[in-house]
Amino acid sequence: MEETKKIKVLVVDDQQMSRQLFEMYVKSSEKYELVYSLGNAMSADLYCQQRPVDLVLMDVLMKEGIDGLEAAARIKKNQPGIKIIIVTSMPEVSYLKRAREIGVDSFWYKETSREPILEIMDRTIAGEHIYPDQTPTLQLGYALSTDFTERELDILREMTTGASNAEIADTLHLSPNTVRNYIQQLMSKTGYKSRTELAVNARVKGLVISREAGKS
Amino acid sequence: MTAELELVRTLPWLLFSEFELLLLMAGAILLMMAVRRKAAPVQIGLLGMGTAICILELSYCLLLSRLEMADAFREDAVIAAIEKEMIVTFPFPVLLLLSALCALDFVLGLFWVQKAGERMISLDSVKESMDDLSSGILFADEKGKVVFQNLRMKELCLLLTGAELTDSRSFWETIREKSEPVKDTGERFVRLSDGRVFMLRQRFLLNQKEKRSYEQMTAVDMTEEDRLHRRLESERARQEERKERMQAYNRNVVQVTRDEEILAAKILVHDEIGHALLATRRYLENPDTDQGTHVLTLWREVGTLLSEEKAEEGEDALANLLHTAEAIGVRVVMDGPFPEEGPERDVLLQALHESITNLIRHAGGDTLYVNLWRNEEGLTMVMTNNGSAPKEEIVERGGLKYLRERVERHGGIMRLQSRPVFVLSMSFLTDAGGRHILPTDASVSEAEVAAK
Repeated sequence: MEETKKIKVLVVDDQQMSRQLFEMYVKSSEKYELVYSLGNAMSADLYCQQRPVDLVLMDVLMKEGIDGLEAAARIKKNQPGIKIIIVTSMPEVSYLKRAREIGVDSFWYKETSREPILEIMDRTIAGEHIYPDQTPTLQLGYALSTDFTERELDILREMTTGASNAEIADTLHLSPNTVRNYIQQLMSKTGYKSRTELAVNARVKGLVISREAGKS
Repeated sequence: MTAELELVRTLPWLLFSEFELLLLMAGAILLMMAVRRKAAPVQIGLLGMGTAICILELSYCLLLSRLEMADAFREDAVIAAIEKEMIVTFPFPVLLLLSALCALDFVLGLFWVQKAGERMISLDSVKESMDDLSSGILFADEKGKVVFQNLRMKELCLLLTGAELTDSRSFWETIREKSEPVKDTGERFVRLSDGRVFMLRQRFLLNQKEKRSYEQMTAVDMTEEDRLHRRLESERARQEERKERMQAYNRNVVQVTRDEEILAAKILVHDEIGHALLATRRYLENPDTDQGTHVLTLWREVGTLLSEEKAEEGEDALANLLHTAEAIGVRVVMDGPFPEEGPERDVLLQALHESITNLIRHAGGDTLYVNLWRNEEGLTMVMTNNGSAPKEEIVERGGLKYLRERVERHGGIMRLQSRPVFVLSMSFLTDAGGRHILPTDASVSEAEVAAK
């Protein structure tokens, strides 16, 4: 394949070793050319505005600034032709939903996806949209992540910020009593004795991650 | 039979007359009390009727006893006169029945009068009800002399001053010394040694009729409210603490996640080393194959990964942004300390990003000048560029609009200048108390930027 015909890839991952691995995968293929590598999602759209990029491999959780999904939304807004693959190790269900809403082309779980990333890249460039059927299943107390409803996960996500019932109710437009009932339901499903224990475990396992997570 | 003996016949009538007289007196008293206590008209009517019957019966009995007496002394003229006066005669059982009915009427009357009395408000009943209040109340004249106080207020005074309450002014002074003010309301919170809490309030009332002013002091028992308030406060503090803990945890968990990812990557590196070792062994066993280049590439990759493993944990967002700017041909000339942490760092990063975007999209320049300075009032960042000035006044929308919202949400001020050159500046100013200060001049000139 001609050098000029190579597919130009931008890698965005704030974890250096993980980024390095993606760079290696890209470099190992004849089809792809690594044009730039970024440790923060914030500058990704700037690069895409000024330099030719065909495909972006984007991690979600960033140490600071905007997260990968927000950066993907900016890129898709200005350069809808650029293909984006979201790569993450977090089983947070809202990521899949947000990625679809933004128009991200494919979604790949770093540790659990069976298909190799190069295959996902090939199929994405060919015009396919590859999304996992579901998030990786994990155990939270006595419950499996699939046992929770979307609303329960919304409540749980807010709980990880340390918000009170009234604040959660305000954010999700529910009554404080409804929020209390949901929390009781969550505790009874998981068997956790306190809401802090429930929230901490949900967060540490990556089941729910608030948009503000990790930011000071 | 002698006349004296015959007089004995008058005795029952005299006794009956005395009984009737007693009934009459009781009836009259009850009637007066019923009228005074404003009993029901039917009840007053019944008592009046009973009293009237008693009068009639008494008169009849007296007349009969006089007749018996005249009969004993053979006073025929008197007998004739009495018989002439007596229009009707009643047999004794009828009289007895009427008397019994009157007695019953008066017994009921006694009950009616008592009930009517309970409905009437007297000074005593006012005092009694005031004493039953859980709150304290006191009235004093213009000189502070107490004219009324209930038991609760008396008790409060004893507990606070150790003496009887006589002078309201000195009592209020004591209250002021031993209490906390309730915001700006003038009311005072008094906490007693037994745990009870009272809210005291002093007011001056003008009696229009007497043209005199009175002092009114009230003490409301707030013990339960205070307990609930304390419970609420402690719950709030607990929630706040939990929130802070969760936020700190959220920050730390990102690092934990990163560490887990590093571990997973390290496992991959070790796999890669294994792979390289195997390939090397195969190559060494059979060096004539063309696998040399492949083995070399594998070891290079392993070397890169191992060197990265030792390397510093990546660039921060600012360094990344600056490198990206450089990569796309934008020079960022930064003068001054960019904050390393704090809520304003994220906002300033976004502002930097927005300014680079504007530079490449609209201004057509290649250099962004960023000046930062921090003084005792806070932090200011001013950005301008070497591109062309905007053709018209910049309308804040999209990124700029969102940026202003974020700046203001963090207590900062954003200023945007379109002419003579594009200048975007923002300040996060605080006074000694941490409150936001609005700058006097909203416009920042290029000269100011240059001077800095």
